[in-house]
Amino acid sequence: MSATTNLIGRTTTRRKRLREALTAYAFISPWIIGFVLFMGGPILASFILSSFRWKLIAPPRFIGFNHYIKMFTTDELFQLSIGVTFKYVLVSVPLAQVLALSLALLLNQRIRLLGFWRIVFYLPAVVSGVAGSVLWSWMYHNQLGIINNLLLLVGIQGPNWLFDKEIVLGSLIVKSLWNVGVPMIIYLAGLQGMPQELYEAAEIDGAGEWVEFWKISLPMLSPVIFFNVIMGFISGLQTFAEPYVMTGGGPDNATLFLGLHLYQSAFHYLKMGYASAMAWVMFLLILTLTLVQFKLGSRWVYYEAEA
Amino acid sequence: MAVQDLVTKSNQDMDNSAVTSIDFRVFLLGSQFKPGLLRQLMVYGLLIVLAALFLLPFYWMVNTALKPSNQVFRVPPTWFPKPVMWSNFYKAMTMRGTEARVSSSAPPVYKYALNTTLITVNGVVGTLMSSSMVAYAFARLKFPGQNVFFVGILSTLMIPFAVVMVPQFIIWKNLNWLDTLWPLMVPHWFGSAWNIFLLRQFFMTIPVDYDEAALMDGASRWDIYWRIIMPLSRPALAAVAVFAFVYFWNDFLGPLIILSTPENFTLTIYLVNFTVAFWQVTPWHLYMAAALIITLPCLILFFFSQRAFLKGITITGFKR
Amino acid sequence: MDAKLSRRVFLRTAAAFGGGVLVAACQPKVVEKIVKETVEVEKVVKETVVVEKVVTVMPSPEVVTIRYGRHDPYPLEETTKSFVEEFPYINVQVEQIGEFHAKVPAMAAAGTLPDVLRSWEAMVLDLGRYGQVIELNPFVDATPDLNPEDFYENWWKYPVLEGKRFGIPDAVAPHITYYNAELFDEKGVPYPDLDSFTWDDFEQEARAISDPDNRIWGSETIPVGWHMFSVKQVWQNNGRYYSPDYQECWIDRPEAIEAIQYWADLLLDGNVMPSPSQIVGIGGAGAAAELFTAGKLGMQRMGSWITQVCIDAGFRWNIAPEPSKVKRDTITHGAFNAIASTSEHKDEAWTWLNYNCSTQSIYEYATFGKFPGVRKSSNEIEPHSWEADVDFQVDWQVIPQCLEYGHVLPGPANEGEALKLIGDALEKIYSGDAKAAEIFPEVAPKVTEVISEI
Repeated sequence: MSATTNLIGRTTTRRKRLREALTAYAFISPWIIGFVLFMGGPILASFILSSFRWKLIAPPRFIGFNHYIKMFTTDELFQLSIGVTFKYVLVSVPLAQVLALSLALLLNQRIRLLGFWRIVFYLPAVVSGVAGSVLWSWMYHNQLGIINNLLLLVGIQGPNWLFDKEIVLGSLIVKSLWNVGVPMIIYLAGLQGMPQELYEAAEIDGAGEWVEFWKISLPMLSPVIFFNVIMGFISGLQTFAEPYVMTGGGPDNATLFLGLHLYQSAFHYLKMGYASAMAWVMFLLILTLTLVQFKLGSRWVYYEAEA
Repeated sequence: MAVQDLVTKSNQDMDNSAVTSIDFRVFLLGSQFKPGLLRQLMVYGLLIVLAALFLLPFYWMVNTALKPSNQVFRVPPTWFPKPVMWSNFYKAMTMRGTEARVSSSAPPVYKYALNTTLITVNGVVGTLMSSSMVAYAFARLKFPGQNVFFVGILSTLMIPFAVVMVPQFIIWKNLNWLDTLWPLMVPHWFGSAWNIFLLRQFFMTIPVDYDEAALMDGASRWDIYWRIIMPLSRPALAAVAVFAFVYFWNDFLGPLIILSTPENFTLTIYLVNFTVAFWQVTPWHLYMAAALIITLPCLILFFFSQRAFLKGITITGFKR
Repeated sequence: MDAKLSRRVFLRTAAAFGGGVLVAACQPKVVEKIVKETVEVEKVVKETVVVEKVVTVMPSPEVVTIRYGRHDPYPLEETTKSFVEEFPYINVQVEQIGEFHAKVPAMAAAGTLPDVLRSWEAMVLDLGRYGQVIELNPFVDATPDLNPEDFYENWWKYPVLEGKRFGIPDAVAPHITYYNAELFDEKGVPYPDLDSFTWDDFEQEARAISDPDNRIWGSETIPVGWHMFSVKQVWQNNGRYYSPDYQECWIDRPEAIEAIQYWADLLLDGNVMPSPSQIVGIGGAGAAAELFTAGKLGMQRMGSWITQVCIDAGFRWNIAPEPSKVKRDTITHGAFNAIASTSEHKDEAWTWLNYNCSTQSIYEYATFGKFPGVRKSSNEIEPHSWEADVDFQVDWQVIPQCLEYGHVLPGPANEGEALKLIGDALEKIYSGDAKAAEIFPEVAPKVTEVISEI
């Protein structure tokens, strides 16, 4: 594409480009206004406050880079929480995407009671976050939990899902898989938009089912896969509600997610400045990861619009 | 307009496509085997197993909701409550007085529902409108700094709410919006980063030919946005609407921090009350009952909206 | 297009409707009365003419609204009703603060704390330390019917920093020992002695009752996630978590190490207590007495709020004080009422606070929760607020007695972080990963550093 053509491939004059840019800004203006009004100030404040000591109940006090230094040298909990969070995300995000895509493929067929099946898999996402976590605390309960009691029926003594250091993270990962309803729906919506002509052409050319899946469906789905993976990482790295409700960070800090440690630092230990510093480190981590994914994405994500 | 016809035809295509089936076994095993009973069995078998796993927690939820209070913690647990306490649902939503830890001057639960409905409907409409506008710019227009902007928008999702919460709280205080629904309503008319990204991805799957044709016909960018892109994105928009609905309906931390008088509370706060008011002897059967009822509107919405964005066509949609 | 037209129409009507609502809402608040008067007209025939005269009535004296924030939405029905009768110009608006940890500091930072705030021990001290709540001494001195002698000493003395008083307590839940009398009878174990119940007695009786194969244990487990639970064990051995001036952490002293290790060993024994993972509770620390009420435990040491669930237990139970080692001690857990420094109606706030902490009001709240009150006069009102209606004998007097020797949970600066350090250490000890003697000396200096940082 030449530097003077826009997406539509026509040569444009400077004036036309200016007009396009202005139109674009007009369309983005809602976000800009909202950012300036409601987000910009608080985000800037949190950045500035990361070099202050702020107990919330006392005025902030400047301390320079102390927080950042402390974070990486003496705060074992911070380092621990990074490990916990990354372990969780590197397992749960790929698993969740595979499961969501598989379910979407499964549900994109002619089956009886299709509507019912879709509800079944989306239903967990509809339950309020806190209630869902409470529910799973019950499920995992050693004595009362349905999982262990079902296992007992076949004679197996189930482990202590939320109190065993080794497996507690796995328990939380399984719980997160229960919530694949949202990415599943997004994949389904993506599958709906598949243009029939391509498949018809492929069929005529004699392509087999598997080839069609890899060469047509997957590329056509790639924008959506891209979205789900990136969003999965962004929200996964900030996981807070599940550990907060189900384990409180334990046992022995085995589920001390970064989001939880941050919240506790801010509101339980009243160290809002320190929490802000952690937030910005977390932000940089997530941003780096996302940018890398975007870079890689330019290779495998296929947009019809850019064809 | 020629483009309108194209859009209408495309939508009709989606509506009228013959529902054909994916040859699942062929998909797995290659083209040698004929589709038939075995394939059906596999598909349904897989579905049933997965569905059972997904529904297991709900079985427990309903089971607990229907128990009398003395069976809630029985070990071993009761699989089916005896007697079945349908009254728990009524009780959970209408409790009053000392026993219930709810002041008799607190508003009835439909006031909570009203507040929740208000912020939800507002949120859905606001998000749809504003996010689609912004997404369109990224999907279709070229302008300086667009990559920076896009990453910037995405970046707002990367900052944990906990550290932004208190400065935002101070903003609400200065606007005199504390203990009102405004902070839960106004900000959603300015685009939601998640939805902007999602819609941008979907918009980018729409072929530019439509735009091209329209531009040649003299359409403005707004026309293209409103009359072409939006109608063609019905499935994505419907999905966004459903997601937004569920998100606002279940929004928890926001209302909890901002609201203080019961008149303004939302249903999520109503639910949380069970775990807070009873000094650690929470009546879990009532909690589950209330949680189930609060979930219902989302469920009903999804059920009825499925047609709007999920149809029976398949990925290898061609007739045999 | 039809769609376009109807949209325009809809927008117009919406705007009109909205405008109408806006206008309607902006009516001036003047009360108008229509007065009918009889006017005599001088004539041959007397006629009565009715004249309508519009009179503006002045609004009643200014009503001041006080916000009262607490985390449990205890229905203050009776208290507020009688308060309104006595003080009609003070309107008390009760705010329920969910997510207390997050919301109270946020309100403090934004300057929107409620006029009267009821919060837990360490929080009140922290708020006082940093000037978020005012000194109450002048108010207390100026209120003749607030007699300090009427309050139990440990509670009255607690919320004071450098001579400045920041809070007034109301009701309190002490920790006691609940025991299953029927189980004791069954196993032929004598009941805990009310006057001299020691750790050794406790252990003996627990071992005699325990029958783990049949899932019966002599004692409840130790709620590991609830770090404050363990402090009473340290007290009973004459130790402390912190120095009296809260400047040092004293858990590395022999008394504390000994105390915690004793109970950890008892827990890890496996034959006396169920392990923490076997608690039949949901919701973490301080979980209610499910195992006890299911009849599986001989004894449970817990706050007296579980009386409420024990009522329905279906077996005969009784209570005894916490076992003692070097001395008798227990936790008395409650909250303090304070006045925010940003309050614009401090006098009215005090009026409400004082009323809320009066004998009668404390009695009402205490009866509701089955607690004792922190005023001796409240505890003299019959029927006693901590007693429940059961048809077997219970030694209820154990509960108010706790207030004479029990202590309030400690409130050092930066309590949250200190508790996290201590709690993590406790967790390791109770799970057998470390010994108190190894880990406490490591942790104590860190805690000292944290709590001495103002």
